[in-house]
Amino acid sequence: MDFSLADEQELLASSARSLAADMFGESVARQALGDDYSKADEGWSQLQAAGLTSLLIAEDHGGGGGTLLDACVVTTELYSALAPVPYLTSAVAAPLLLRGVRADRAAPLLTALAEGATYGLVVDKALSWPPAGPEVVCLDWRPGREGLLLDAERAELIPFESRTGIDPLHPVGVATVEGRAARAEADLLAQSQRALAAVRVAAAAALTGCLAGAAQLAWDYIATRQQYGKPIASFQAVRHMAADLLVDLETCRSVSLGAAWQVDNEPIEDAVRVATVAKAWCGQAAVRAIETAIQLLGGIGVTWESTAHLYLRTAHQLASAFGDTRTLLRQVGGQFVAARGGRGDGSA
Amino acid sequence: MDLRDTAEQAAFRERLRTWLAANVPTEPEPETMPARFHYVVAWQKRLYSGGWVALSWPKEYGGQGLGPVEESILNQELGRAGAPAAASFTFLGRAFLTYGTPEQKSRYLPGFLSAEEIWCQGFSEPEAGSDLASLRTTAIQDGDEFVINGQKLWTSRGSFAQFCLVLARTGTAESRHRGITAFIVPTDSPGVVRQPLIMANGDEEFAEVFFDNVRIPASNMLGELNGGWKVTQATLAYERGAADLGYLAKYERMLAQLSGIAKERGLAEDPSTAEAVGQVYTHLEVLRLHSMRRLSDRAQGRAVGAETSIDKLMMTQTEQLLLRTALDVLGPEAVLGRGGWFKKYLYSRAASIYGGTSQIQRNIISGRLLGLAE
Repeated sequence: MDFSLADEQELLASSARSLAADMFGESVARQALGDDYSKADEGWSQLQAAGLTSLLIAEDHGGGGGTLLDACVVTTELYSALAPVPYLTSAVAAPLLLRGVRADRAAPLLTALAEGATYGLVVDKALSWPPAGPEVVCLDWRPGREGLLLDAERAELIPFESRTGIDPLHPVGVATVEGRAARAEADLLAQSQRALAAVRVAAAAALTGCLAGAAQLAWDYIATRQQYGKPIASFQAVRHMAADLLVDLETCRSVSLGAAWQVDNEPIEDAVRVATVAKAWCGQAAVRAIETAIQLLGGIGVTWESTAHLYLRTAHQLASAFGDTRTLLRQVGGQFVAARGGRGDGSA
Repeated sequence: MDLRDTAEQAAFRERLRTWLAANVPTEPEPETMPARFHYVVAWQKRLYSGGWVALSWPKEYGGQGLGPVEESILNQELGRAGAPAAASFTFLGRAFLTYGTPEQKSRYLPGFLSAEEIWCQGFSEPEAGSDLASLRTTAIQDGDEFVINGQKLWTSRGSFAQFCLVLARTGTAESRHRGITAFIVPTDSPGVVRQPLIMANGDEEFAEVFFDNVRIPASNMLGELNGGWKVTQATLAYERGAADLGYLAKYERMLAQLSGIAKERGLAEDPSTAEAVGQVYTHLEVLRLHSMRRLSDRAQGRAVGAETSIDKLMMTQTEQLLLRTALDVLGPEAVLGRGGWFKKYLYSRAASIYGGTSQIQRNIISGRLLGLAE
């Protein structure tokens, strides 16, 4: 049993961290809020050049042939740096879901992705996005970008319209696609079920990144902000909230990394179960911790000027996507009761 | 990363399962003390004779020379087999391993591991709980003896133990953690008086221990004079770690039992029950992966330190959520005492107190892990 990251993965994490610090951060996020994505696109090109956007694409198609764990390590760093790029969709979900698509249809898209193309991802009930009317939603969509619609037979690029969502760093689009909204999770092929599990774990890694970024804001702030003649970090009420952030962060790291390995290496039932748990935990822990971080930031934390709300917005969007926290808890709990519920006296 | 057992670990697990299948007691664990205590001690002795105690300790001190991963496999398998937890708090033994003289190790460790000699931990006092460094029990040197006076409180298994590791003040009253020394005190020494302390759930879990001019030889000092704080830190870090403890499998069995009750009630399809069970199960899985991460760090030689405060908070949260959820699902039946769930629930409230309260864990995290100046 070995939980540690391999040397190459440690290297991947540190290069993703320094690349994210160089190319993204608050100023690039602010530009994206004003619909200026030039810096974000530049950052994406750098990520592509470093091979970080094609980790999950097979080497045959020009990718890196990496593992989900590799991709999760990068995902956490990018979300921590508020990177307004479609990593979760174009670098994680699309390559994984394309594995379940007819090879002749998937190949050109995989090659394009490996070369740095970005697509929004069409989500429907099968990807745990409950339909609200006939429209389907496209995540990480913005004007000028196409939406990737995938199932076993189809891999199509379709146009979308802008829809104002809550997360300006990862905007959404909508379109009407006949018969698509009602497609259920049960319609997914086994291959795609594992892909969905993987996407959930990557979302958990992204949530971990949001939590890490917001927690760091709060820790830095309380160490310097003075009231009553001393840093507010010297007050126990403040210190204890700061400590809770670290408990949430460390448990999120443990479950997202461990689940990433399990989804790649274990039977499908275990992969699905642990991915559900990871997403449910990181969804609730990130939202809870970022709310706490905002409390620690005080008045500045509730202003547009602070980046705390950007973390909170992304965390809420992620917590709702690919299965919201409550639905996932019900799924995993219902399965536990059905499978493990012995008799009430404790006998099996 | 590879979360699977290695071939050696898998073989170890298999041997252990075979042994457990033949050796786990079939009679249920008694509900009350002292019968429960004797039951657990008998189980510890059987484990010891099977070679399953102190797996990660050096062979020369009665251990098996294996690693922390094997310890965790033991804990998992004990839980899976429905076996009682081991009686001996091995974290107390860590203090001996680290700070004991060769003579002390060979004198005390065998009895400690085999449960022939039961130990308790004389740390907390009426006026020194969270603020352990303010303890007032004194040890005054008199020739080649020390004379101990004072009172200890919350001493787990204090009524049954043959030995107590006592922290006593050897420096000035103001010396705090710099003036504390650890002593090995036989509980049958003249002047030691023990009174059981009854827990809210009715169990005789703790004792008050009084020391009235108790004389012990100077050779009973563990560690250096005024070096008791280091001994304490070594003990507490291990006590707080999730990895040392076999609680996970026990929690999972309790959740399965609870799910059985829910099924009986026709609540198998009830969304709010599913959500509540799902929330507990999620905590268990997070704790499982988190413990694996810690174990792996430890197996690679990283020292156990302040990060165990994170583990303890997560464990506490999990245990308390599990038992609270049990009462929620049981509803009025809990009032009638079904399955002892209410008793377990009351005990779960102690999880955020013993081994350092949750407030103290948060102090440690903010000071030592986040480096926030006070």
